[in-house]
Amino acid sequence: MASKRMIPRILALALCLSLALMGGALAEGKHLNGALYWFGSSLDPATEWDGWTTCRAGITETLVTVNEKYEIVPLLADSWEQKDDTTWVLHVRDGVTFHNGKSVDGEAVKKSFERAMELQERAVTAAKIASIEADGQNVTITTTEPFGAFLANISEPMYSIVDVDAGTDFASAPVATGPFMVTGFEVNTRIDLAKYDGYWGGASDIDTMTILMIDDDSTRGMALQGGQVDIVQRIAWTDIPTFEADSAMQVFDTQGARTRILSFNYENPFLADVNVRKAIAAGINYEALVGVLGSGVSVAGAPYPASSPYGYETLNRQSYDAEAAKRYLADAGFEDADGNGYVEKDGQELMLTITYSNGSFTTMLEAVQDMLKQVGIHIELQIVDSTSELGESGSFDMLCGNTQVLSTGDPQWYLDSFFKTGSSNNVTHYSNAALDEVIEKLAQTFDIAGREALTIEAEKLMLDDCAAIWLVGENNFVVANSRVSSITPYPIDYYFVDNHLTID
Amino acid sequence: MNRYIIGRVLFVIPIMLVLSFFTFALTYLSPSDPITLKYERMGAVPDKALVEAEKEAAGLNEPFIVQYWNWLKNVLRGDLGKSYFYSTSVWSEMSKRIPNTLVLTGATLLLTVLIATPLGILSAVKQGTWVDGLIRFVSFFGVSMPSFWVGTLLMYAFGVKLKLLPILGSGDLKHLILPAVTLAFWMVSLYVRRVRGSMLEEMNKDYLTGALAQGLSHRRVILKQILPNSLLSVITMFAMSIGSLLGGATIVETIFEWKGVGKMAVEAISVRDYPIIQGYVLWMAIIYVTVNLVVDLSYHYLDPRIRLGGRR
Repeated sequence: MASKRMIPRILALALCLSLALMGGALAEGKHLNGALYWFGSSLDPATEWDGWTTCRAGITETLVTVNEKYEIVPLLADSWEQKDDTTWVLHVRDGVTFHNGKSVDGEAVKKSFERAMELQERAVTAAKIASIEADGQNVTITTTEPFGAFLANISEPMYSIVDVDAGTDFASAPVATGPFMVTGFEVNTRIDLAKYDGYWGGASDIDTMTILMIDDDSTRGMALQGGQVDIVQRIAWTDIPTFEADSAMQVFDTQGARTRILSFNYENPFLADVNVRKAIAAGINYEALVGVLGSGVSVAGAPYPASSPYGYETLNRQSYDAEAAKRYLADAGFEDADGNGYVEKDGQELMLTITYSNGSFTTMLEAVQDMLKQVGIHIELQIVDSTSELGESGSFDMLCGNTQVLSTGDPQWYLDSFFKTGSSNNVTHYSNAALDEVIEKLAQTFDIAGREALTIEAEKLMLDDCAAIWLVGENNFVVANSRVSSITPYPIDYYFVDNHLTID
Repeated sequence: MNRYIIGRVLFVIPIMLVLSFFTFALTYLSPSDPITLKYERMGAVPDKALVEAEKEAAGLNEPFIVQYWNWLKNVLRGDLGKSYFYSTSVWSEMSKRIPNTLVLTGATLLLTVLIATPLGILSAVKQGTWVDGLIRFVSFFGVSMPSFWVGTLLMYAFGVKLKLLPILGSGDLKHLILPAVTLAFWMVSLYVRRVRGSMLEEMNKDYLTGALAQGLSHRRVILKQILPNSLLSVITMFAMSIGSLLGGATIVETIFEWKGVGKMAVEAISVRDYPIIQGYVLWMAIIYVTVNLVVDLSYHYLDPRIRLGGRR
């Protein structure tokens, strides 16, 4: 008797267990699982770089955005006007609501900007904002000085518009305007999202979404192959051919704005000589480097990527010419007198150390080392935990790092930070009066064509002077299974999920 | 006995002081600071003023001894500090991860005991036969294969090809299987050999002949006499394994995205997250003192000849 009564209990338990195990499969409507390689420590777009995560997950939006062609296009602001050198009036799109249903107007935008500026200094300096006034759907922003990159720079995710008065904990549940709203967040683990029905651009076709943080590249790839996730950003380069050969997978790649750059210490007497820098630039076979690294990179050759509107094709880009490299060395007074394969000048061998912190650069730099050996330059490699402090102390010959050269789709920041005489990130102590002048002019030029022309001029000056070496551009990869469609591959990697994305 | 236990537990305090001081000193001596490293990891070029302000706020510009003293004062008040990298309190980060590590350790140990003990006994009893040969052959493979490789193979087979089990994450039983099996694969292989070895050692002793001569059955002697005696020598080794598993199986936790303390510790070291590193060291000190104490106590019960604390 007892055993008979047990049967329904066991069955009920078994049913509960299998339901629990099926988990997500029972969730109603269309569900998409995505994976990212990094999460910010909170979901508050105004703190640190956490806005990059909320932007990737489709939670928050900025007034303007950067499209696939690096063009500044309207987002929450549908039009704008520049009143004078320092005054911008932006009109907030009608009908935009926060996730709590509240309308977004000029006042909401003002509060959101002020909150960001209060929370971090970066929000004050990046757009050089002096004051903000709201009037109906308009916001008037005044900058502290004429600043041509203003519009581009307010596309940085830290300027995402949030409902400051929402009264929720922004670290775990920001109230913003994106196509998805947060339903759950576990730090460094997952974000659960539901579509926002009132999204101004049309509600997403996907009902719920989970974004996982998987920092191991191969695990992320396997999770995609195993069907645990449907779409991922970034994948191990060595896995790309496997995914490309798999008919059940879609691979999207765009040449991103993140470039691997060799920078010189201009205090080093060898490197202060432009002929030595030119010899290094000509001694590197860029095509071969791409071959060594596989499908993850493209030849850079110039400060800004080929996909940007800054005249890539018209530039006299860095190119490989071993004979020219030897000539440049001879012009600089170097020769291999002792026959050991490396050149010397005044008895001193041309020996330079490349310092880097990213372990994944080793293969590429070993190739560079080998290529430069062919022209007589002795290169040593040194890997450290962080190049920042080394940079500040000036105790290096060459540094290799990767930098987002068009971080908000605008060239100004990169030029300002790394090449302007005396600027804070210019640890190489590069100084070029002609370039400084162009950078200054760029800051005060507002029309797009004029900015593009000045950027090209700056690039020419940098290439002629061999101010740095732009080795390769890292491609952005989005890989998805065939259930996902309407994927937009963006060159700037803080864009990922949007309202167009669909799943079967 | 109680005095002995209390003494051993109190011993954790000087150990912790010495350990924390040296860990603090070592991480402090290594170049780079946690704030810069955090931003570099994001791929961002941090503004110098921002880094300086954060360093100042976190007290990182203070001299080493002041930083250590501040940390120690807070710990004595029960505050382990705030992680620079996770931006949460050390305690909240660790309290989320310790249960995951405990679950993974428990499952691995259970699998190890359930599989390694019978196989070890079988291998010893059937010494020299094909059964013994097969078990030794497989366990030889098991100890030789690195866990990241076994883990990746299992992921590929059960996650990608057969789609039976999830590849990553922690939570329910399904998520636990692959990481636990990966860890147990190596542990079982190791302990099969160990159990076999110590069984054989015991089986060569005279008391076996004596017991058999008294007319006791072979099976009874193996289970009641040989096995308990041979396990005694396995226990210390097993305890060390428990300790290292509780310290986190870094590689397995990394490839399976299992949010345990091992992965946390490695990340913390790579970004110089001093408060997390110190929290981890405290955790490790507690584990080892506890595990060693439990081993000593279990010796006392398994072998009454052993007296604790040198008293008779």
